[in-house]
Amino acid sequence: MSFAARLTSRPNGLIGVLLVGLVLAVALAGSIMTPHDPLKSDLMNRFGDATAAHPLGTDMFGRDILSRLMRGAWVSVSIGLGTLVLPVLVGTLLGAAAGFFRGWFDRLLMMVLDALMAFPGLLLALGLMAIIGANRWGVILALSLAYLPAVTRVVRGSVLSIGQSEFVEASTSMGNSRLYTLMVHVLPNCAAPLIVLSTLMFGWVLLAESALSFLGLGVPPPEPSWGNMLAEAKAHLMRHPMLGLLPGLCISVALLGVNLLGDALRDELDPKSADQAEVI
Amino acid sequence: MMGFVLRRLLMSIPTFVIVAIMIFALVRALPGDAALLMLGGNIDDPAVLEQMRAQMGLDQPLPVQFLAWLREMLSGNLGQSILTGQDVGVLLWQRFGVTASVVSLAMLTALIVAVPAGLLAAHRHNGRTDYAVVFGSIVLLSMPSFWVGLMLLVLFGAILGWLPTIGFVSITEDLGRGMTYLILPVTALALTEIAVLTRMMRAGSLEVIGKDYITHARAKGLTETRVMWRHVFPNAFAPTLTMVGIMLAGLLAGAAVTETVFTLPGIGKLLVDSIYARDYPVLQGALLFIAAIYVLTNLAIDITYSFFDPKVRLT
Amino acid sequence: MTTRDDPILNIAGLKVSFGAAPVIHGADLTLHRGEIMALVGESGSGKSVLGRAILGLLPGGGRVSAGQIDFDGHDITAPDTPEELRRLRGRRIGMIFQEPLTSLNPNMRIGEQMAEAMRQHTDLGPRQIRDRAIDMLRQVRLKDPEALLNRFPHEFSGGMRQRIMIASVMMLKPALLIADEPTTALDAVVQREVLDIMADVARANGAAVLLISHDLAVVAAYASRVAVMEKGVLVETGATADVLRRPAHDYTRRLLASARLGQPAPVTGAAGTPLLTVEGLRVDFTESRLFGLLGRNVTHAVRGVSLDVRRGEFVGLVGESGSGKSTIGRAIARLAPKVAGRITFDGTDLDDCRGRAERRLRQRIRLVFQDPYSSLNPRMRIGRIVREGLRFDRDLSAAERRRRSLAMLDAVGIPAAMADRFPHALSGGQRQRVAIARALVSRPDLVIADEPVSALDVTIQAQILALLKQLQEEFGFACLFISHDLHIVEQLCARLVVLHRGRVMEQADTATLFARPRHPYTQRLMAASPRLEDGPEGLRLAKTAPPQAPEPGSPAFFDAQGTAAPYRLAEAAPGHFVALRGAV
Repeated sequence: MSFAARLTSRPNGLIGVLLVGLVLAVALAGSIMTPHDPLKSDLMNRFGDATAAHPLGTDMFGRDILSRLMRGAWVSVSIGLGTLVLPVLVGTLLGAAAGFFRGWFDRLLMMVLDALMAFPGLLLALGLMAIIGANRWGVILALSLAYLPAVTRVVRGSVLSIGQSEFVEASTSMGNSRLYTLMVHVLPNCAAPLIVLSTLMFGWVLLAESALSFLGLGVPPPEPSWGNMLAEAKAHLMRHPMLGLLPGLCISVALLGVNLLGDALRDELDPKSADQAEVI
Repeated sequence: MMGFVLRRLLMSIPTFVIVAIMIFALVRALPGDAALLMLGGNIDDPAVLEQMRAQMGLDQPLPVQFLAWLREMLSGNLGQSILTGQDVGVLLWQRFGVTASVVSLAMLTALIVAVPAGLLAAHRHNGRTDYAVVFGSIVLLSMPSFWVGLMLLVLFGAILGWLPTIGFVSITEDLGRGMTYLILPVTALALTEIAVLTRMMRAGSLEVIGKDYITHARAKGLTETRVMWRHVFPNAFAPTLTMVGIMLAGLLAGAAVTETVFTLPGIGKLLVDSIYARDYPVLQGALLFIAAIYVLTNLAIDITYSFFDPKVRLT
Repeated sequence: MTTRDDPILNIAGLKVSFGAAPVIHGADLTLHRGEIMALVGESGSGKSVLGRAILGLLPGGGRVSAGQIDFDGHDITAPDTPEELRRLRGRRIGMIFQEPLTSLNPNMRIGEQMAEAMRQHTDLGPRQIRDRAIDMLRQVRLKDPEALLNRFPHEFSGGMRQRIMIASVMMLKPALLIADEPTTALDAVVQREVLDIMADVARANGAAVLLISHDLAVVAAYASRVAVMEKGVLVETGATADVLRRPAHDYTRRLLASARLGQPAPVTGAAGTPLLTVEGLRVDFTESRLFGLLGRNVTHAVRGVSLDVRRGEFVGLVGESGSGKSTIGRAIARLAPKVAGRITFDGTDLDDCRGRAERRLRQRIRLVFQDPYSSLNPRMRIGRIVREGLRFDRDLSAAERRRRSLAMLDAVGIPAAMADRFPHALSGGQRQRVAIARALVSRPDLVIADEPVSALDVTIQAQILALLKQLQEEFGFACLFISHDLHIVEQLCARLVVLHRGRVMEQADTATLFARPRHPYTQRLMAASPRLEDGPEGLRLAKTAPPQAPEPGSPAFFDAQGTAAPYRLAEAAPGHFVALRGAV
């Protein structure tokens, strides 16, 4: 049975793939075209009810909520994917070097990472946003730095455990260089935990980005993101709860998909790794 | 045992130093003149600015500046808020009470729910109860706690009108009224914690249940209740306890969002407000404080943990 | 052995399946009161599942699909209430597990673990329970039982834990004891002690024992009857002596054939200068605590070992776990750093080999590891794994490498069609063949084989040993064969080196060592490793010479317990070295 077939034969894998696929499709659509211009306000039509033209109604500035949610999906997903690049590349490099060559570099790195643990993703991002300022690239940079330690730790951990394997000793005993052994024998075996972590991390970033935007330290308005839509809705919630319900549901559905997919991937690829949950 | 405590204490020193370096670097990296920033930006009197520069030792090399700064911080002199002129140390300590009560109540609630739920799910592995617990916890895990908070406010505050939606009364002033302000934030935070801890507890229990000593306990004819609570629980709880420590930092940071939602005067709200207001002495103090709380709590958890682990206790 | 006629356990037509996959296809078994019966089979035969089924404790997903297990009038497969089953467990049926390191709860004191079942099943007060526990710990010959009750499992060695386990299970005087490979994880000498104790305690308390094992020779000495299981079917049951003498089933015959002493076929090398010389090798393992601030723990793994291997010769390195045997192999292959000593290979000091010379050397010294599941990269195809062994033969073309690696796979009995498979598609025996092909593809002069067959089933072991012999004839390599099992090294090795705690205890050619073991440690080791041999009426348990009292006037042997005592290796007869106490 192929990997995809095995993954989707699990209920969590199937639902996860479907939900993540849905979110990606909506995000892609939101980047290309939306029913209305998500930024165009229509002060004559504030807090409009659902109509054929505005299936989900309009917000406090009369903007089309559906269009804003779709564009928001693109903003969140692009930040999420963009944030994966740096931690995965740099984290793999650092983790692999520390885990395979050990020594002082490893010890120093571990001390720094231990200290970084005292700043959970969101806290570090909050501090960094104070320097960088609230914008999309700032969010990506801050969250990349915030989640770099997680990747480094996971890669280092799997390099360490794979480094104990007899096939790594076998490679050394045949005269292969350490670099060759690392690249050919060790790293390919780290792929599974890294894939699982990247999936989970995508979820953490979605969550952290929406929290930052909610606090006004993420994506600045009027550009819609699910988080800043919630922030804008806050003042009107008591009379118009739908304004807050919809963006939150979008975040939850996206996260549910990512979490289910992450669980299924872990069960399939990397059954031994412990649940490395991180919560904002 | 003493050896372990000593070793653990020694190990937290480098962590503290690196944390301090990072916060120092963060504040120094803020755009603009550091002395000017510390004074709030609008200083007419150049003499005051010069005095601040000298006090911060900006003419000295960076390592010297760092040591001077560290000495100030360690002696508890965290500076004054630009906004209110209050001593930052005092301010942090006042606000910490609120955050601590919310976070610890949420953690306690979560443990009370999650430990039995996780054990039960593991005991009924692949049964209906297990699936329900697994699905329920992943749904809870997927809902951002600040959104859940907002929706709880709408439901209980606005629609049902049972609980206050804005303001705060300390439980030390009026226990009954104080509690009404805590129920919703605690619930919002606890729901996510329940999800995380239930998953941890379930995974840990499943691993322990697969061990020979559990089969041995069953082969001795012990009741299932005794097997689960006396043999599975102590061995599965240890990793969960460690997780509680790691989650604490996340909770303190998460408090920033939750406290904003519920307008609670806690550390998190203080931190966020200090960013808005560019009140850098407060920002620096709050970061340092949260990191210190995290390091100290994990130290405490590790030492507590060692009391329960015979292998550590005896070395 | 007293055997009353009514059976304590009667299994009829038992079938067990996991999901849709049947694991036991039909087992009939009768066990009488006070009788010890051995249940023998290879991994995957379903023997452990049968043991678990008797307790009604099948692992997740398993269920009894047909048949009956009757224990003393109770139907285990269809109990009246689940409570009925629970009351039988522990009180009437006890169970001992294979892995002593994981079968006691690490977080509970020994005393509490022993007492809790008593509290569950009896009305005895804490005082009486404590007295019973102390009495049982005495029965399993543990010293100072009172103090022991307050300690935790991790403070004890595997052998001691298994004795504690026996005491704790037998404390309730069960009528039936199921022992699932109770000593497989232990060293030979300890294994013998623990089995003796278990049999004694069971006899003293009148318990019947179902002794589950993969090793017929080890359990044959204790069991009056033997049941043989193959792929979920009980193929043969009978009195031990009868089964050994006249095995009725083909599988039993194959099992016996691989368990008995084959005719040793030692691989003797060429005379002349040795290919490999090790002199005064010392290896320490240092573990620094907190970057060395709190000192460091030093373990002396190898404390000055000398040996040599001639061209084309098989030398056996024998010892228990912790003897340093694997470390010596790893030090020669430069996988473990030595602190002192000289290793010379074909006239070159290994310390002088750097860069290209080292790479060339590594083509001439190759390793075969113990665990074929961990020694092959799971993400690499078989063909490439073998081909990698030729990576440094720079003058070979890609096609030539491919041809040679396929030819080598063919030589170890792996068809070329399998070269595109990943290791997980292969059985343990096939994987070990691939590992051997990878080692031999560069035509090494020396192969260091570290326990190459101990992870395999006995029938597969025999095949791999035969393969090694055949390959040696074809390619002529020398081999340092590392093993804990005297009888395996006896099959192929011309000379043996017996190690204990990092030192050589005795060294001689194989025939001499088996005929006249001089050092008490060698004698203990031999007495603890029973094997089957051909007798006048078929197979029987081989007799080993009982340890002899030292002759008066003979020199004091070096005893590894007192490692601080002066040590020297003396030549007792030409080529026969024995460890003695005293200065050189």
